[in-house]
Amino acid sequence: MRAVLAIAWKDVRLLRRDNASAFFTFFFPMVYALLFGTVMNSFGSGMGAMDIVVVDLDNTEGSAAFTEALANSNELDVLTLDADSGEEDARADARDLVRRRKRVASVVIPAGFGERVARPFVSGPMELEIALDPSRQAEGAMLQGLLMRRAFEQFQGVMRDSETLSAMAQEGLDSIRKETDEEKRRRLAPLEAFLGSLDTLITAMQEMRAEQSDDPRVRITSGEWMEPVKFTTTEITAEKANAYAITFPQGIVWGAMSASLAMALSLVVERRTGTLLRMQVAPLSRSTLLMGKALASGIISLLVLVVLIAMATLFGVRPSSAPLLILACGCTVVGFVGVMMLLSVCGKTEAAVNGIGWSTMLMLAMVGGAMMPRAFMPGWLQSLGMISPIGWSITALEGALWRDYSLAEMIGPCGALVAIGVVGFVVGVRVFDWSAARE
Amino acid sequence: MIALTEVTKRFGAVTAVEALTLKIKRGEIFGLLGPNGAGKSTTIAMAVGLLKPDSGRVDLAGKGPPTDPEARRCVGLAPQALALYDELTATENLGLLASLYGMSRAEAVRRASELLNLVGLSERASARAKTYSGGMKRRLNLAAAMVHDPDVLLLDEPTAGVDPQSRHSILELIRGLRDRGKTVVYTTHYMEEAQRVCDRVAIMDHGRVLALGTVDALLREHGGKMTVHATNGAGERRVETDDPIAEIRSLLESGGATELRVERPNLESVFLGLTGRRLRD
Repeated sequence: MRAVLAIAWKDVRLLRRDNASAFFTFFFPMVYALLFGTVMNSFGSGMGAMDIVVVDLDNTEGSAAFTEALANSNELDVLTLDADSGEEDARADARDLVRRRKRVASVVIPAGFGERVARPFVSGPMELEIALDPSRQAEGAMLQGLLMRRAFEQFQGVMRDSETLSAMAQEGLDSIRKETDEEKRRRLAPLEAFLGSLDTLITAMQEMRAEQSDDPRVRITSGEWMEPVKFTTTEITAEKANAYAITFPQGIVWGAMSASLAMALSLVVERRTGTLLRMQVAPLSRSTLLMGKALASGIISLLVLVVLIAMATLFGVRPSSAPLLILACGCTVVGFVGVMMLLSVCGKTEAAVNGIGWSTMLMLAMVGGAMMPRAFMPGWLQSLGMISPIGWSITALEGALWRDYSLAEMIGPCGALVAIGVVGFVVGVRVFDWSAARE
Repeated sequence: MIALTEVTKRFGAVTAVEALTLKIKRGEIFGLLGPNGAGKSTTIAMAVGLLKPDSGRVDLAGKGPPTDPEARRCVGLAPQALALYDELTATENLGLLASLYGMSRAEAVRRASELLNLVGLSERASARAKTYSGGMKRRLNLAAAMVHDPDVLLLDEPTAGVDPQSRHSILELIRGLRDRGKTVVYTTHYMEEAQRVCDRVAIMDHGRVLALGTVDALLREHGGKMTVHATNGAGERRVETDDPIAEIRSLLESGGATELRVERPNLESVFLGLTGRRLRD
């Protein structure tokens, strides 16, 4: 154990004295997290996704048709939840699926939806409640577009029937004429004109704009009344997940990646300079030697994690569970130690390992969903993402930071990270032994 | 102390070492000489367990093959490359290696201090290795091989690329190690160095031992005769002879020389005699 600690401490000391590596290991991820956190804070967020859960609280012909249209859409994978156990329970179940990253968003079809589909001029726009995963913003925009499209198709279906349209227009006129509020009558005058003369419809409707809600967590993202759909979007766990809670896990993962790569490179440097040879002559087994390197990698990754989490707390990030955060950090470290071992044996020169290392890390980041939403990838690429520790790390860290994961929910990502770490280490040691015997 | 018996190592189609048998005695400086690619470094690598021979046996100090950590413990290696951590100080470099051999922190510090004193680097103990000159790094490299006080030292080209002063210092150090009972295996392609310090020498080429014995015996058996160079107004004349004194006397009496020089055979000429080519061809 003394030898393992000596090797590890030596590597920590060497990294500390290598300014460039120390910068990329400690400061770059901090810059990454702060920069993107600031940008996201400035511009706000709005999101959606491809794997969605739909709760139909309306249970009308119109809402069923809309749900079916979503389910038949190629762009969406729809899970429908019954509201048999009560509206609030169904809503909560749907939100929980989003919190656990099982679904990107929940879409609740509230009561009255079918009525609004059937009578758009009288009842106002169709309303949908969307609960979004705040870490998957790009997918959110896509989801809203898809919902809008389906809603328009529904609206188009109603408008295409001339008799229905005529009846709706008459019903609308009746409703306006019964209005006693003068102010409202004045505002509805254009609609009255439209219903009397369809030619003026578009112009009249454009003047009818909705007021925006003051609550930043509840935003009306489309026009009111004459637009077919009104989205009310909220971010799940919005109280805990400020922008920094979303960007810091990604910064932490970049830090762990940098630390792994620095250690992988150090093994190649030791091979080139002959210091590895000197250690191999010492009465140590190869596994002891490599465990020392792995421990160094783990210590440095852990330091990065601790520094970044400490920084995150300064920006208002508070973990849901400190023990689970420690678990997530530990498993992240184990996962990246495995990656380090694999990278260290994939080339004989620093240039080779550096090139292969960053390419691999970027690939892992991409398939792990750290660079682009996984929903935009083909299925086989999404499956490949299972081997990326990056996606699992972010899931585990977010789970402990703001997704309110239980211990049972942490088992999936943490188990995957440990498995990646163990497999990576074992394969790395085997390849190291094999290549040492051939040299 | 070290016994290699019928050891062979191949890399693909290339035979680096072929059926090599060497027995190195306790307390001697044994020179392994030969040109680049002769198989010296491969032999050293097999002796310390970095390479596994394809066939044959290696035994270290009667403790078994070098794959056994206990057997490896009695060997110290100074590789040809300066195997040091540039960003660590001399004390830290030696302290790290001492830790790998199981020494406590206090022991490691004491041992590092002793060795730095021995190799004349005490004053630079706290300086990082990257600030050392080539000669100083060579001495530190040598000290690193001795950190666990091994009985056998394998020194692979220990004077490569150093200035004459440092070379002299290193050779004196190696002699001092022998005087303290250490066994030193020394590879080099500097024949004059080997001639100066080695008790016995094995001359290798193409993975085989061409000759083995004391320097004097090799010179006697394979070095050829002494050469007397006589210069006069007509040019230089070379005479090979077993009795240079008689030859000089004869030249002086005949008045055939204004300048005389006697050239003794050396290991270079031994190598030439054995292979028909010069060492650095």
